[in-house]
Amino acid sequence: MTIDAYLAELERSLPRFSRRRILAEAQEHLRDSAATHRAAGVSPPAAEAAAVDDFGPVEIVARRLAAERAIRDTRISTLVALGAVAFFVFPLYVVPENSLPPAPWVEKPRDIFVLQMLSVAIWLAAGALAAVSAAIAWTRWSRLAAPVLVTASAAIAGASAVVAAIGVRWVELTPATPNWPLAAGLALGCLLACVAAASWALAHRQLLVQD
Amino acid sequence: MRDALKGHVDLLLLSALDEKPAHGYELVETLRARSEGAFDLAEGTVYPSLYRLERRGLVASGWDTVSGRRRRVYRLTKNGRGRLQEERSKWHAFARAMEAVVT
Repeated sequence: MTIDAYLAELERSLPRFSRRRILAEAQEHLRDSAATHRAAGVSPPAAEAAAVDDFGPVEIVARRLAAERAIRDTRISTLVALGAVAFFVFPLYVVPENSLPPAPWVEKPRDIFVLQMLSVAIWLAAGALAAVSAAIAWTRWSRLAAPVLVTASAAIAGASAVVAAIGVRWVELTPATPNWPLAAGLALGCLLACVAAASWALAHRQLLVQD
Repeated sequence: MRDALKGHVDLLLLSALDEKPAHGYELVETLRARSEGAFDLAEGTVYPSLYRLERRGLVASGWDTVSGRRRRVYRLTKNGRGRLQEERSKWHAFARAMEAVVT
């Protein structure tokens, strides 16, 4: 196998977010190794094949690299998830209570009440899961943080949808509501939640499949 | 020999970096040379170990230009030197005990 073919296979086997540095290092390593073999009198094609052989089977190298990078990525993802939780909980549950115009309904319609309660419950669960995940991520059991975090990320995404539905309904029914801060907050919050979920899913696909 | 190295790769890498900063291939070559060819690692598996050591704050790394090429160079941190001393002491004690029993 040539170095280029090996690197292409390694690239396909690694999580998208983690492979840039790994591939760069692997490329330099393989070039050095092939040069050493050539200096020993081996033909260029055979030197490349020997370098690839010395580096190890793609599936083993990729699995170990992915598992190690996933631990670091989990930590980043947990911070994003916690940030998403904090971003929503404070502005959407604390600040609007006092600063935005009151909701247009005098008596809360049942569907709004149910949505609000549901979103609060989801957010509490998401916050607890994200906090647990963050705590685990910095311990020796850090690999266990990933399954906890994906649940938190899904909960954040679900809560974002519910909160967005409430926000849209609020703005629709209150013409005087300055809706750009609410819309901007919702959009940014949804984006953060999606980033948390997507980054987890992409970064840990390899870990889930192979471990 | 590869199986026997399991659990010792971190110590080997820290020891190799004790002398001077090095990039991945250089580390593999250093280990091979110092062990007179006995430590013939699957070279690609050195990188997960280096990333783990970096995550734990025992080594630091950065891109550098070496011989006209861009390389990721690893170096021991202060914590890494401390850990290396601890692990060396443990290893010497273990090796003495093994030798006393086996020989």
